[in-house]
Amino acid sequence: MNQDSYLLEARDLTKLYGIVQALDSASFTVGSGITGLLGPNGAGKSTAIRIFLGLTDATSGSALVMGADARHPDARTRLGYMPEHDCLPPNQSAANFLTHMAEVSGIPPSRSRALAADTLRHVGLFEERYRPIGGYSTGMKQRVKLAQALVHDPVLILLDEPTAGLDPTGRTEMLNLIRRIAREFGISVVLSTHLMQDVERTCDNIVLLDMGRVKESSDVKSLTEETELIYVEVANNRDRFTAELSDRNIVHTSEGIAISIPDVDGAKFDAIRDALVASEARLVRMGPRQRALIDLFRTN
Amino acid sequence: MTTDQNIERTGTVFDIGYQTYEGEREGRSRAWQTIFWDGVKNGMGIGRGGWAKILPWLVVSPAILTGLVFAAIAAFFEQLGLEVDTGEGTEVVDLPSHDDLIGVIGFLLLIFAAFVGPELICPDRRNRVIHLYFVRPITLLDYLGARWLALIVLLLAASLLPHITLWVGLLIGVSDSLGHIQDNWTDIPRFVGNSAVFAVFAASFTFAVSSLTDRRMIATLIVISVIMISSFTGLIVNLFNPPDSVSNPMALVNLIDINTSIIPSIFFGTYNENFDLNIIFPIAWIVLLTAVSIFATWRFYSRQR
Repeated sequence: MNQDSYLLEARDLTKLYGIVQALDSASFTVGSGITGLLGPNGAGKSTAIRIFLGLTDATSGSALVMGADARHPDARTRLGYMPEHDCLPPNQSAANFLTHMAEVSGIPPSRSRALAADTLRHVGLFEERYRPIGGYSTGMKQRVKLAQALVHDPVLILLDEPTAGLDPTGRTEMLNLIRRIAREFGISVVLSTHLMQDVERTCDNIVLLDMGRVKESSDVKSLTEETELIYVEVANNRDRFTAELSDRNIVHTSEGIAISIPDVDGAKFDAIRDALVASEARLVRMGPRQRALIDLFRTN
Repeated sequence: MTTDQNIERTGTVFDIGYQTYEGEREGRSRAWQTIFWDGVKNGMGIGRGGWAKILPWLVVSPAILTGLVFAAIAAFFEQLGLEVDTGEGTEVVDLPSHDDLIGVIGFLLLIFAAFVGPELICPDRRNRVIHLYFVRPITLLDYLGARWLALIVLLLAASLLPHITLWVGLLIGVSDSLGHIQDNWTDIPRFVGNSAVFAVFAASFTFAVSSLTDRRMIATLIVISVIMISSFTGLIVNLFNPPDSVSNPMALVNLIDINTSIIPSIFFGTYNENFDLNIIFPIAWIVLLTAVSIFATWRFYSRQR
């Protein structure tokens, strides 16, 4: 991707809160599509988002939003943000609230009401739009939060833990909606989450943060394809089988009832077959498995 | 009559899908205006419950009523003649004026600010809607400035209404309206100036207090308490220190006195002719205003970051 087409760009971003280092020379870029900003709690995800939104300044380094300095208010004109925490006025209707937020984003009043109604239709709240938000369910409130991020037709939206507090059905619906936003609406998405399944199910690209550093930045597909493992499950003589593998210098690890063997090629397949025969272990299952993103944390 | 079966259904529902917005984006100026008008509407209770609509008028109505009563008294004495026999000669009746009204509505105006000011600031922070403002193309100063100006406009309106009532009442009450205007035209800049001074101070002061808490009622109670304590202390100081000995710095504890003294002492020199420290009130006002404004901005800024 060409440098000018990056939607977000972090250059050696460092953020210190007193003696706590939230970000440590983090450099990464975000292009179009859905990008997962993944990492455990305290990895620096929220700090990075706050810097891109101009809510806090980096201690050093720079953050660019569509090529503009993130500290400048105009950089946020085509940016949307859905926070994790509750941030809705309970006494207002969703329609009025979104109309107001559209105007605060610079949309003329003559168009704001129509945009608000359209956006609420897209997130599935059209029928409920005149009810006070205080009476909404958690799932509906999440949708209003998403709608306010979309109401001014942004180029990019930043979603902070959008599935937090949702039941499995609500979570699936929210992830489907996020996919729709990217695929049908053409709005790029940054999905900040610590739930790897959400990233695996939704994202095209991933930026993995840990302890304020960028651990991995790539597309999800290549990460999961490049790390192919062979899983072997035996019914008996498991210890003898692993000993035979070790005798043949085959690196392996136990994962539950299975034994995983990385980087398998033709010679290794032969060696595994020989080990099975020598150990007289009865083979239950053997086959390749795509590594999950969680393996990134285990192996790196 | 046509039955349902005879109707040929030709309509089709089209989902036009997501429509990108290609129109104008008005940026910060639109955001600023929106936050300002939202503040004005909130302050007047528009779009809120019945109590929120009534409350501002509960405070403003006594001020307007006072203006009406003053106008009625003036008209009554105008009918009787402006000179009364005291037994030792005749004495000119001192008709109720705008200066008298300023003292009365000053107190009510601060109470009005105590109720309306926190309403413009606290709920946004309490509901955390404020975070959604600052991820849009505005700054903290845009937000505070728009809300501050909205409160000033409301306070100005609340302050000018009683004065206009009195002005019109006096015009109707006197026999020579044109002569009254010629003789008393300086009343207009005086009460407009005083109202502006009060509005700017009350707005800044209530914002500073509101920056301390997310709860409206707590902010309101703090503002009212400060006004009460300051007025009561000022009253006691005045009892023991006649106006011509106001060189006692304790005279500055009364917030209402500080505000009511500025316009007369700066522009008309009539607040206290014997008081050669007239200038101390404008200085105290500016210092107080600067202090509360900086404090409010710093509080909001530090909490936001």
